[in-house]
Amino acid sequence: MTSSASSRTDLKPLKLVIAGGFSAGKTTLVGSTSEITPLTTEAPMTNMSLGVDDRGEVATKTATTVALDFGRITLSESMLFLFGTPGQDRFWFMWDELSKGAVGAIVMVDTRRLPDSFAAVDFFEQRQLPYVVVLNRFDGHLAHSVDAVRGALSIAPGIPILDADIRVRTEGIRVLVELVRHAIQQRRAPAR
Amino acid sequence: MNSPSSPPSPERPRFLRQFALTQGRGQSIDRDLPLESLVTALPVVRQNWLTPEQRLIVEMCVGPRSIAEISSHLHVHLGVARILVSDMVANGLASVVSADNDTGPDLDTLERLLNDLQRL
Repeated sequence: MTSSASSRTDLKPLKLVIAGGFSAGKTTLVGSTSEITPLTTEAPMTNMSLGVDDRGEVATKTATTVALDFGRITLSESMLFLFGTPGQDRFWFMWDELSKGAVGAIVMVDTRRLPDSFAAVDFFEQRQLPYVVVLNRFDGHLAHSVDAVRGALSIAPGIPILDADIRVRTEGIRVLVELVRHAIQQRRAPAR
Repeated sequence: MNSPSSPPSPERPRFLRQFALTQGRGQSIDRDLPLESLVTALPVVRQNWLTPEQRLIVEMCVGPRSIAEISSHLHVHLGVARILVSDMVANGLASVVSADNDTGPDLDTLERLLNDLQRL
């Protein structure tokens, strides 16, 4: 193993998307798995994506941004970026950019607020981007069982639904492993 | 009438500054530069020819850093970071590695990634 992986120029960039409703644990997952303190960046929202709350005030548009939290893991041949993105469907343009070429997506679900996850599940389903669903254990509890969530969100039987305490690094890594495993399966047998 | 009823946004001056940084261009020459693209600074002969932003990018990209990290570090929007990097690549100040995002990672890449993650 090289000791100076961080200065290598032959690393391949890889990314995955972490989506979910407000405070569903996106940033927590980025934080527990990233080798760096999670960073934040901003992208300006385009006019089209502003359609939902557009009130015709052109001057205010330039000030509207969407924040992305992200982290990084340096691996033997790649640098993996984890991008956390807001779950509301008016941010679809950002999901669009993030999902392009992504390994896959993780949908974080707060079982107390299931409807917040509909948009993300729908989006990744349509894109046929491999995704897993993670039920975040708040204070060690789940408001609904895995089966109940699968039914409520109409998640296909082949999509893994994991139950994890993503504050713990090993649990966070387990989620990433499951996503990549699922992505490999989907690559091997794309039709489902 | 579209009167300026809303209070002046503190973001606005910053936006103008960002617009100036990229010499008025709203979009990068290389619009396809994904935000995870890895940027590495190339050896610079004359440091004092660099703009302050280029100097910051050169300093932070001794090893590969993503467009997203550059954006975060310089406190500029992703689009601005993209343009700054495109210009540096055009001027031989930096090199960029991007994946082919039209196809996504191939099976071999995914298997290596899985292997790596399982060893963490």
